[in-house]
Amino acid sequence: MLDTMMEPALAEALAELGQLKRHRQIERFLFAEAALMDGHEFDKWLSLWTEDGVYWAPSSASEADSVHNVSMIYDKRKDLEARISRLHGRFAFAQLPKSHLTRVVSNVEIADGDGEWVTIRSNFVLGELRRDLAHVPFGRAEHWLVPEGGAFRIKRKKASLLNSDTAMPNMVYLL
Amino acid sequence: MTLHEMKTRPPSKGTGNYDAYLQPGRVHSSVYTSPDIFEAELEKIFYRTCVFVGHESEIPAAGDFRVRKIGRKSLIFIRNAAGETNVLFNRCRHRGAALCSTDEGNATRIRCWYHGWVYDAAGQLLDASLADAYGDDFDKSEFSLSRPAQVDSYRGFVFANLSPGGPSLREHLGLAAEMMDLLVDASPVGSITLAQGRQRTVYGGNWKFAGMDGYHGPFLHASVFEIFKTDPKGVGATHEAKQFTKEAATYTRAFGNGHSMLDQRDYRLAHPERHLKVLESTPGGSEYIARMREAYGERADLLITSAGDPHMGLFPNMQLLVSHVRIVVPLAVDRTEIISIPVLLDGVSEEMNDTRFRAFEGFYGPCGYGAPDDAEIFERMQVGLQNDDEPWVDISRGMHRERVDTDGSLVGYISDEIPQRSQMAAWVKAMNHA
Repeated sequence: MLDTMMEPALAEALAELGQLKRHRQIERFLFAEAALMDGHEFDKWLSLWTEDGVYWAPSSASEADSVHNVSMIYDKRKDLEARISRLHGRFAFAQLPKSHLTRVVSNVEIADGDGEWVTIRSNFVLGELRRDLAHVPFGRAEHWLVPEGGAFRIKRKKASLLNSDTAMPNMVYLL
Repeated sequence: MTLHEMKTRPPSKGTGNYDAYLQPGRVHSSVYTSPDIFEAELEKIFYRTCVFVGHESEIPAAGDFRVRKIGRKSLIFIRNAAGETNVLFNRCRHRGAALCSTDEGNATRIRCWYHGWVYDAAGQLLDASLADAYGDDFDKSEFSLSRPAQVDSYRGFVFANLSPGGPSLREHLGLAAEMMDLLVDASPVGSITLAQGRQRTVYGGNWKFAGMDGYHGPFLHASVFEIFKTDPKGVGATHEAKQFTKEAATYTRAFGNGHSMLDQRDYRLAHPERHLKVLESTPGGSEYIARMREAYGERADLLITSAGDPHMGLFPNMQLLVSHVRIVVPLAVDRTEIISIPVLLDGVSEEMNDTRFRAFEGFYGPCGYGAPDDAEIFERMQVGLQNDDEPWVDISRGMHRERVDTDGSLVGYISDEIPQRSQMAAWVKAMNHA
């Protein structure tokens, strides 16, 4: 009798545990990505991306698409590689010296986990210090992740800054 | 004035003579660091010259508006119901509230929410609420939104002069007008569209740093030339390090009134292969070449190879370069905003415009691979210029070899500081104006 009563509750608990595990796994992925960006670990960050990845930071708060509205960043793989290569080099003066970065990733939500990809939404607060000037932009990120052997790869990422409608100082680090 | 006085007691707002700040080939650094001089510049230059406001294509539909700043004043650039563009001060004629609180939008009716007064998109007062309190002879037409003293346009570029008098827009542009044609006539139908959004960036430096400079490319933008070597599409097709050597047929050119250009026309005409190859491999590119030849005949080669890039600065606040229009907005002596608006060519394939557009995105904006290094160096300038025990900034490069060309423009080598000398000559003239 006790078994038949316990089974559905147990099943429900196990299912919820599975969901929590998944959520935690995704959070850990986002935190690890954040740490790479904060540490300017460009190559390791690039290795998180699929070959057909698209990295997008719109320059307007309105939901204009990337085709009909200019963006701050709209990189396909080739452009991502050029961006990383420039940041590695000796001549990216806007990041000489490099910014000190610490970001907080929070409000993580799995928007859609049913298809081939997992769509994640999260908020971030990015603390930047460079030459005695602190700048703390806020933003929302959307990641489209492809599961790959127990981990994830980024197929698409959109970083929407809260202040993208305003006049922005240099933001040459990774968002 | 002693050097110490020049720095600590510059001519106060509205009076005085600024000749001492510009000597042959050098300028006193307090022009970039003095808050008093900055205030005087607002009065003497921004409120007194033909200042660029916007392009008509930014506001295609009735009610479309942009709010633009001239100095500290904000103006509404708006299209009315009859299809005309208007430039109106952003201030209710009642008690003075700003009417538009976003920097772009659409409003065929502009309402002030303080007391409900409402205007149309031509700035006419339609209704002052509870108007019986103003008496029978209240005349609404006396309360239209006020306008700059002069507004004029050239090829869709709208300029305002907040003061009466002075040169007309065409006189102010002079030879620079022909170079604006290089952009608009890069379209086979002679028109452009600025309706794809904009980048807004800010740097901690003086507004006068943002100008034409054919000397800095291979150094400040060394990282960009590295990228262009491997990917010649878009901007890369018309920008190579070779153009900035002394052997290249590239020049700087000043047109008077402070306008100047990095003149790459001859070089591009002599070396069209790379750009033509990019065009021919872009869908619509070959058709573009054919349509341009048909529309412009002899001028076509120049227009095609110039790729819509006059690479020109118009004093005081506007630049036309590569694939965009740029507005320079002075916020403080050591703080400047740049609005960069990408330009699409009408009558060309989507793919051609996409290439221009993506090239703009790559280089410009706060995350680009080119413009942020300019902003960075401007900020380093502002720091360095504080160290003004030796106050003179050298802008003499190429002074011995500048010459007046047959069209009356002043011409020098691509890396010569003609743009800087030309900007400062116009600056002194404007600042000395009583």
